[in-house]
Amino acid sequence: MGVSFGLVLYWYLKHGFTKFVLVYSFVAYFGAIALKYVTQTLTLNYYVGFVGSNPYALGLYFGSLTVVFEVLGAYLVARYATSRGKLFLNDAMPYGLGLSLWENGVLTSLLVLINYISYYALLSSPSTHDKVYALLIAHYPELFLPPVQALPLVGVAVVECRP
Amino acid sequence: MLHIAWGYLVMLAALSKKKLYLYIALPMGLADFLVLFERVIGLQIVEFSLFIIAALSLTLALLMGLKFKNNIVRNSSSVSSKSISALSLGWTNFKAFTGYWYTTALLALVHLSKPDRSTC
Repeated sequence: MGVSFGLVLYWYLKHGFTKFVLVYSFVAYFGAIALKYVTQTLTLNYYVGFVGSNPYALGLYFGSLTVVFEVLGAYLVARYATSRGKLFLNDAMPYGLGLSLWENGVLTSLLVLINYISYYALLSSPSTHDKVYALLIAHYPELFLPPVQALPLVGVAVVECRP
Repeated sequence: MLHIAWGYLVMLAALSKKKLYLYIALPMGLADFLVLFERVIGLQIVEFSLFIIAALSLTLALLMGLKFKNNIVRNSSSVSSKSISALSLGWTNFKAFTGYWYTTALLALVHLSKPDRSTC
């Protein structure tokens, strides 16, 4: 979250960009996620019924959805914005940073942050502590790892590269 | 890194109206293909592979951006060198000058060749 917001802030202070770029990247990203969700809801069961649990076929399915909705969708939004004179050459990099910000800094991180705050609050309360601890240790044992063991996982989370 | 790479490239494609940038960006979305292999080959290998792919994609995008900017500089410099060329400027002025006198002379001839209606 810090890295995503930090990069956008750094670029704004160092190079500057049109404020609309974050709006357009927001539309491109969340529009793509919504369309991916709808498409998966409508087609995934049929597709799994057809190809089974073949990871290559499923990988191709998820990869194709990302290509069509996230990359092509981002292009269509960018084309619309540039043709209307809303975005310019110095907005090219911030547009990419914006897409990254909405996924890594907001969609993924914000939900995780809310989850962790909830866990912490529930663990702090004597009435729910035992039940929540038993649930979390069973499902997410990595949350209770000592710092040295948790550090590599934190590193993986920071360089999270998947689209 | 992948979002930055394809976001940058699609903007270059939209600005330049050249599909080449889009064709380079599109396959980057296929990186999602690897996510399902997390259980097969392990989280570390998948993440490392994705990191390499993302780093290469970003490098490629930045190189394409550099090429894009170089083309703009080259085109603008050729246009500006054309516009400030002394020979070109001189020739343009000469054409304007001769064109002016040619038109003036032609109008004078037309005027002189007309019969004087006031005398009729």
